[in-house]
Amino acid sequence: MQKTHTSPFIQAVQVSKRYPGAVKPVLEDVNLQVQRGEFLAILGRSGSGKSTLLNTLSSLVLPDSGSIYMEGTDICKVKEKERNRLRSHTFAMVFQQHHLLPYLTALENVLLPFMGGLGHVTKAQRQAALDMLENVGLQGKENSRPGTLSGGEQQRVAIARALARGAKVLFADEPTGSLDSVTGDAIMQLLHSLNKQGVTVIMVSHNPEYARQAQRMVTMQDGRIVGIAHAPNE
Amino acid sequence: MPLRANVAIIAPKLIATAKIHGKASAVVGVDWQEELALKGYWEVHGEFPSPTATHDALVGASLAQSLGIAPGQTIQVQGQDFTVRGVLLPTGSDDDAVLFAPLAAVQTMAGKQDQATFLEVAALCSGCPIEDIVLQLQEALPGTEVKALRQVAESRMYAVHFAQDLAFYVSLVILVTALAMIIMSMLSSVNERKKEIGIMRAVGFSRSSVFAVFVSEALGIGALAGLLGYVAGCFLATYVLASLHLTEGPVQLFSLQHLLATTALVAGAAALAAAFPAWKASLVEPADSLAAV
Repeated sequence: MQKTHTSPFIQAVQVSKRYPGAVKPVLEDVNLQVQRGEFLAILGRSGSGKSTLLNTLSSLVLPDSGSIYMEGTDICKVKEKERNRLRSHTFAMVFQQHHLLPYLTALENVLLPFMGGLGHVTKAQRQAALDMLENVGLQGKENSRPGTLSGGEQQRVAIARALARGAKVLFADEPTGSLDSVTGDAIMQLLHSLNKQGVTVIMVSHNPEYARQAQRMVTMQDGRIVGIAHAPNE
Repeated sequence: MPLRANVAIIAPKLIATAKIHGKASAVVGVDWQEELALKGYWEVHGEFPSPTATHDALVGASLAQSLGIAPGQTIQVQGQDFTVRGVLLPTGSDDDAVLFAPLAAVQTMAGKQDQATFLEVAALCSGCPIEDIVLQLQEALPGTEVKALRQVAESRMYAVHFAQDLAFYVSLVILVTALAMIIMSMLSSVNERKKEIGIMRAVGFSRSSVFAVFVSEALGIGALAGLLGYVAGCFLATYVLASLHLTEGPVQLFSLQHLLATTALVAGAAALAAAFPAWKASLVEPADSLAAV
């Protein structure tokens, strides 16, 4: 493990990634710093590498070269057990397709990160899940299955699941991509609200309007960062 | 060289069926003197009949139990009265299920005067040339089937072992087939549930946790299958035994120990078969499986 003293919250250094069989790398020498409590948007066309960058920052994908630092620790070099712990305690993932388990209720989906294999959850964990459902505006929907919820409600459950363990960083991959504009606006409001509560948000989006609502907007093209824009009030 | 000197006992028997206490039973007519000399291992509750008795009987253990017959009792068989002198202690052979009566009485009862179903011949010597004795008896009694008891026993043991081996290998084939089906089914399940595995991994499940999820699922399904299989097997066996009239009255087949052993065995086998698919599941990369959706 490598530690630096004055390090940003999350930092990507010279990160490159090429998928097997691909002619060109999907990420090429990417450098990026994310500060604690920041709301960062990653914008770009399909295939520009934005989702791969998000997955690399969240340790779902390991880069071929370069490093990802989390509070000064290179998470590419820690043991897999430690990365699993990061994903369950510190990082949170939200996807475009919600990815809820259809046979579990909203509450059980939120409890999934607590289960860890054999399904036992404590009363405190159950209460934390209920609180998180309430926080995303889904009180009363605890026992509903995903199929009976609207797209926006499903995405809220996914966000509640992501944050139920008190994660510090929310990685959102096109969280509004499958929603209508009204529901998308509501999800963006929720993300801003969570950000104000101290959660660092890193969001991939196709939608420039939503991306511009972030404190910083990173534009990607062909696996490289080609532009960084700050919000007017930053 | 004639081997007549080696023949020590010739015990004729006539087998008939008759109703005793309203139930069809096997009755074996014997020459008491020869029979008791031949069956020196018999033990009896009560006493053995006198060699010259004409209407004394011995009852096998299981027949006596099912008919409620005790020593000293008089029973009527096809209109003839017999005094039960003793009840044989269990021998583990066919003797347990029959009534032994004097040969002459059974011949009269069956209308087969001076006839016997078979003769048991004992050669009381060490290292007797049994095959030669059998050969000489066959020559002396043309048209009669002569078999050494050892051959009969070997033949029966061969049949029993063959049936046991057959049952074992059929069970083995069924077990291997079932395990192969579990492996295929679980592999298919892993493929279908890649997204779910990806979600688990994305929210922090370790590879060993994913492995545990699949193995524990197989364990639970296996335990349920073992439980239901045992209960269904008990019902089926009871029905088959009843329909074949192989037993007298209801048979207690259910055993808690067997139930637990079956459940544990099937659950263990299912978990073992699920190990490879579960290992494959644990290798699923979350980013790949979620991106593929």
